[in-house]
Amino acid sequence: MRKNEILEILKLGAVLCAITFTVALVLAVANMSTEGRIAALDAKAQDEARKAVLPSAEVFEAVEVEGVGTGEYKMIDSVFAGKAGDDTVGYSIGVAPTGFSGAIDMIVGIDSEGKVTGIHIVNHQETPGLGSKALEPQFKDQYHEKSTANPLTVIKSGTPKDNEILSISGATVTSKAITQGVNAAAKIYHEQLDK
Amino acid sequence: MKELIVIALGAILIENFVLVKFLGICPFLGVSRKVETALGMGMAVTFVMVLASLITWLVQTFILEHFHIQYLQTIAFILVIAALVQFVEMFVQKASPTLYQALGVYLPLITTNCAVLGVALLNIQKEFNLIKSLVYGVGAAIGFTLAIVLFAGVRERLEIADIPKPLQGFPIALITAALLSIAFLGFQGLKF
Amino acid sequence: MSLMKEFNKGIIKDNPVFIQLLGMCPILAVTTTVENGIGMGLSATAVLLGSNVVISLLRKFIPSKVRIPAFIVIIAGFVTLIDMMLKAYFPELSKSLGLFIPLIVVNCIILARAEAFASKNSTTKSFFDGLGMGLGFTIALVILAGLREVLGNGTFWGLPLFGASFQPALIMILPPGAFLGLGIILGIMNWFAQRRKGGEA
Repeated sequence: MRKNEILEILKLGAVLCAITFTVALVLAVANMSTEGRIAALDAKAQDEARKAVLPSAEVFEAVEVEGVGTGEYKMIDSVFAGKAGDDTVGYSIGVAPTGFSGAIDMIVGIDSEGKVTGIHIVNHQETPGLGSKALEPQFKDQYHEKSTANPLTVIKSGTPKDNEILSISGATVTSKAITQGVNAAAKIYHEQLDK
Repeated sequence: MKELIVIALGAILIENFVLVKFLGICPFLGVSRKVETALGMGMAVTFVMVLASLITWLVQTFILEHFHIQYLQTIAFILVIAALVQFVEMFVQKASPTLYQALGVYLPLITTNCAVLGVALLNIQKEFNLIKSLVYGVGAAIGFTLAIVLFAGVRERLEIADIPKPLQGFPIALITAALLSIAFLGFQGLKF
Repeated sequence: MSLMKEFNKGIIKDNPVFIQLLGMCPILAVTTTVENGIGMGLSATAVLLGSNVVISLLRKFIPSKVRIPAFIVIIAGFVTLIDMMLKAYFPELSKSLGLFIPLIVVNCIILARAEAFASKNSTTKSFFDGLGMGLGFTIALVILAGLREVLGNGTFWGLPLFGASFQPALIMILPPGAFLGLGIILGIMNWFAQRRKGGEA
């Protein structure tokens, strides 16, 4: 009787193990065949995004800045220098301000004169139809050519002045978060990069 | 410390798991006829969720990342949760028969409660450390319990209300949930 | 003939969402746009098909005592597979569905079909059952997503339907709109069902 029970348990265990092992094997193969593609897609998307915010650059090189991701530069993810030939034409700075529902992953381009050349939103979880309007040119293009000498502020209505951004209607939190992101990029640009 | 409070309050109120993130809807709609059972379910979920946050974090850090097999995350986590639920059930049965009687029926249901797997996955996605994961787990569980108990309270009264026939039962429950959800939207403005 | 029956029942008579009230989390969470709804529906259908077929093939091999963990492992395997495929070939969709792809594992529809149907029926039958249930789920997602996107954003599949003067009812896109939309759809369905019954009596 005892022996039977043990045999039974061993059999159950063996069946479960066999199933788990097969599934893991299939997934390992699938992972190998998709891993490269996923990584390549990611890299390509990031490179394209950097180009979109700083069109004058030909290649991008990662720049090491002390304190990125902590303390004052908490929002900053990455800094890339955009180069055309031997000249640095500007920087593309990855920032992640907190929006309405979670972090907004975005890239800010700032040229060597300290002007914003564009912003690109890589990843966000904002409300579709509201916060997601930030992706549309109507909002996004407001940042073009803005000077970063003074921090930008968000207004809810009216005609924005030089250092003002008109909020997306119904999505003030998102608009403010993105503006914060641009300001954070401007801060690190002036304090660390523009020397 | 402030960050931990923000994480917990965020999970309870601002991003309430049930009403804003839509995790754990099945038990939310299924076991909310009475406040008493809702509370029981809430407690059972709290128990499992906190343990699951702890163990899945350890599994992710010390097994999956260590051996570079993150792609097995979903399988590993669901197995951990299923085993955990089974274990908790056996433990509670032995340790406290009274508690088992109160929670017993709900325990097996928790395996397929997506809020539990959701918390485990979100902890990793948000790159939380162990303490933050635990706090997030506790917050999410309290948020779930709060939502389901409030909802059950409303539903108890709905039982005796005069509702148009086509809306009786599930439809009115969903519309009630919509109103609760609107109320929780008010917390979105909460900033620290 | 009977295969058609297995296929049909999931779409209307036993629709997993409207009749059986299963799989509520993704139904409410990803129906902000029709595109997301279809993406979620098809992903879940793929998982359901795969798990139904494999489980029905293995139904004599899996001891009933450990069937639930065995089913969960198989389902989780398919979910991970779909997750990888989406990431590699539809990165945009994968991003917008986010967490809800791995959460297909705990979608009650899939485990319910494995337990109630695939573990007891032939592979062909299970295939059609999975296809029907999956499509029923997708249709439900599209109906709710359509309602929410049209009312809440004034678009369908991203295309604007009304003129610029249209003021969308934002609430439909926000979380409460999901509960409200589904509640109203179920109410309307009940109303029709009760009227038909009343007519017959």
